[in-house]
Amino acid sequence: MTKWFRRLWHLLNRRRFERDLVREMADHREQMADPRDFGNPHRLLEKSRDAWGWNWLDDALQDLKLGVRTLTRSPSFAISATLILTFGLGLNVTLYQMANVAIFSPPAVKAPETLARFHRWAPHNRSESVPYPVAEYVKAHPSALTAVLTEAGSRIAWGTDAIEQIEVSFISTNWFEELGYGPLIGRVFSDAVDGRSDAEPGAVLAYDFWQARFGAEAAVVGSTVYLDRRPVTVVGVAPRQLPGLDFDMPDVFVPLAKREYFYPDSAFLRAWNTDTVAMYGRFRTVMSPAAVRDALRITMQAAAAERPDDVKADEWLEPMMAADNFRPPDEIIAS
Amino acid sequence: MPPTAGLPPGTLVMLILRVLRPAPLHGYAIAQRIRQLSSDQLSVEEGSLYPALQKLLVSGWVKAEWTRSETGREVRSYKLTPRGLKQLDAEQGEYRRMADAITAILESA
Repeated sequence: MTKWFRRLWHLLNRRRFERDLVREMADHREQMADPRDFGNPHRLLEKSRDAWGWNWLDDALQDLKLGVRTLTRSPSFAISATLILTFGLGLNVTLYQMANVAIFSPPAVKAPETLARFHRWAPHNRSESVPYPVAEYVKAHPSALTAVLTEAGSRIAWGTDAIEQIEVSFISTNWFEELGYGPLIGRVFSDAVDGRSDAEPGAVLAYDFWQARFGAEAAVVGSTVYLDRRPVTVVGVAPRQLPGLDFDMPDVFVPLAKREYFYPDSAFLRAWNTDTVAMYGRFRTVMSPAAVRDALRITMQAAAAERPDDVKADEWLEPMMAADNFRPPDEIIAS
Repeated sequence: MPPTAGLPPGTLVMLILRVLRPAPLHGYAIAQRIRQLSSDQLSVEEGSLYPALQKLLVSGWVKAEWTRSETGREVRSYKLTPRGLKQLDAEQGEYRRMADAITAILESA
């Protein structure tokens, strides 16, 4: 430690010490019979400087001075280099942040360690979606899941003239509550209110959509909007931080159970043989993917027994854990 | 006088420490002393004392201060510190060990 202090002291008083050393060496040469035997004073002064270990600093400062002088002489080069570096660095930072959100950080939801998405897998077939009735079947039968969430996104006509298409997300009524988000204004869907079969269809606006189209007016709650030319009451606005679990953030949320209000001729909600919805589930305690898979296999086999044409005995629901950003195990990068 | 062609590396530091043990000396006097004590067998390129002295200063083995010599000149005297004394003992011990080992090999049958 004290060696460092000595070196630092020398750095701060370098000019004086070097003047002294030069004087000392000159005195010594004066006393010699043949001063040539002293050696080259410049070389010896340089070596003496070396001993204090600050030559790297001198070199660095000299390089810096040279660099600054060169840049000031050619400003166009300096500006181009700066722009390229800014763009390059900025792009890298942005990409890393995107990767951070997509790959490294789990989604910003309540208790991500007990949430998973379910893909429909069979020995020769894999799908990221499941038929809506399958999700409802799992929900209706006791299993390791305390809640089942479903979501299906599409485009829908907006406004009375229905010229413009916006992104709508049909979601289960427990969506917001299970992800741990309440409304920004108004209310969000709940099983108690919107889950009733006689409930009027309501819409929850996404934050960005509300900002852009309604100028962040609170008065939008309670107003009527038109989706696919059908009137819907806006019941609330979602908070800005609500994550889109599959990257996309829709413009409007509508209860999935009310989908037939918008598409009366659609068999979507009853189609056992089409993979239509993204299915998520919350389990009671932290479980390994294998434990979740096994627990649901029983439920799926019961479904296969009841509906052998629609659900095969060798298929299962493969969990994609929220903590791993819903990625299958072979895509997980060790971090 | 020829320069320090034959002096093994690192021994200059040890010699300077040894020469300073009895009393503080300035640079010219150190050079004279080394020549004198070695009966002129060792003559150091006198200027090379100064980088070596800087090394001793960095390591805290000697301290330097400006004083007046006997002739009234203002000179910079180097004084051995307790740490320097310890270092000298260590280096002397190491040097003797090496010399004995080499001698043993040279004198073997």
